[in-house]
Amino acid sequence: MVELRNVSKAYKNNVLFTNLNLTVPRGDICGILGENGSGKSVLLKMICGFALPDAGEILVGGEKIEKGKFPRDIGVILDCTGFLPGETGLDNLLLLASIRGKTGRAQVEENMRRVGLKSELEVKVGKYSQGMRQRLAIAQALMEKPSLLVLDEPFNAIDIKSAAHFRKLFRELNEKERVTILLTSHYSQDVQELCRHTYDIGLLKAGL
Amino acid sequence: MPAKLRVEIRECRLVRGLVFWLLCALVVSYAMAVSFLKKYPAGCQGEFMVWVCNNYHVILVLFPLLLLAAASSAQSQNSRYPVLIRYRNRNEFFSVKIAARTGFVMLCLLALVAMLLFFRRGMPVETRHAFMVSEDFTGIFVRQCLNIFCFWSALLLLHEILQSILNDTMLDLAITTLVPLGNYILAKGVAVRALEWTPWGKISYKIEEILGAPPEEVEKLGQYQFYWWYWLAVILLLLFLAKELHGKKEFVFERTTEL
Repeated sequence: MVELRNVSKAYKNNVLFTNLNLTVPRGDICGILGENGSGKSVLLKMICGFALPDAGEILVGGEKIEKGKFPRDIGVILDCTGFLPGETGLDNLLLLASIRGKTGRAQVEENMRRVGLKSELEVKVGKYSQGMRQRLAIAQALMEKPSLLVLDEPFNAIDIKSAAHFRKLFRELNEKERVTILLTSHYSQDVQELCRHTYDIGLLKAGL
Repeated sequence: MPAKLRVEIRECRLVRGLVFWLLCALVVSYAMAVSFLKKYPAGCQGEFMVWVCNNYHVILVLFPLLLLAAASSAQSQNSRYPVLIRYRNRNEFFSVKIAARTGFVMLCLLALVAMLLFFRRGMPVETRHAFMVSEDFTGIFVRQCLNIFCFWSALLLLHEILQSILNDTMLDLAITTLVPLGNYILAKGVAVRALEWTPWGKISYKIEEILGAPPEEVEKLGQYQFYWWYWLAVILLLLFLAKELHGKKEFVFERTTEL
């Protein structure tokens, strides 16, 4: 599903990766562990097409991510949630859903309920707590039923009980709908409880 | 495409920007009408419209600053990843962004014109040549509006280029505003002659000449032109650069600045 072949990347004169290889098979749940600043987010952003590798190639769903192209059928959560604070959570998601036109209001509302934002549908995002924004980001990633989920620190700002709920939700998505999941975290517990394969970013960089 | 344009307009709060702009245009148009009548009590409606276009410190410095502030995305491009990932590629995102902003610039100009038309109502229609000899008011005004539209569009593209290089909205805004400000200072200062040959310089330079000249010399007004060849070259060059840089932009870490 995701394949990185000899990927090298430097950012602001810092060499992040040299000849990095990684394969995430379809239907897998794969976790990448690493400290802050180790390059996990940049790795995910390269998979999404937001950052460009200096060398090597990235394939998502068998398609090479060419310069300027974004992968299709993908749900993403990155380090910052770009929602409009003056709009309600529901309106934010409906606005995003209108771009592809693949999903309707009913599915959007259903996804908000799924992540525990049932009573916040009509509340403005500006009034959301950090944890609620993260939940909205999860709903945003799930709402178009993607076959690949790329999640950067998905449990950030989420309490322990809710994190367990989301781990269960991701596992269900993987088992029932065969959604491939690639996530990063700096907490080994998150990754070990959820993922079938775990990689340490330091070892990946070293080619081990 | 309409859905994407709608998202871009909402995401970048262009409607809010337009309201903000209208308020500024209302105040400035009123102040200009008062100022014009004070200098030229016998001035007519047509002369007022041309005179406003000639106030380059407002048209070429103040308004671009307000326009850029209003058109700058409230969020960094990096934090707009939920939108970005729903596009097929960067080019599509870039095209929608530029189309939305160009439309916004056009609406802003039309809003300013509407305000001026509103405030000129109390002035006489017949000219007594208080400010200028030529009576081709409409022709001059339309040509100046086209120049101003191109000037503002060029600044928006410059803003886009700097955003790709600097990744900092506020710094980008400050540098972009320095361009018309520099143009204004040079046009006001000793370097007038150095700027005279450029349309940017001509827009501002001619005005200085007109305001300071007796009416009989103002026949030079015929030199007012729409410099389409110049603007076409400048805008195509800036568009090419902006698109190339956007294609190479790293949406990795970006300073987020709420405007």
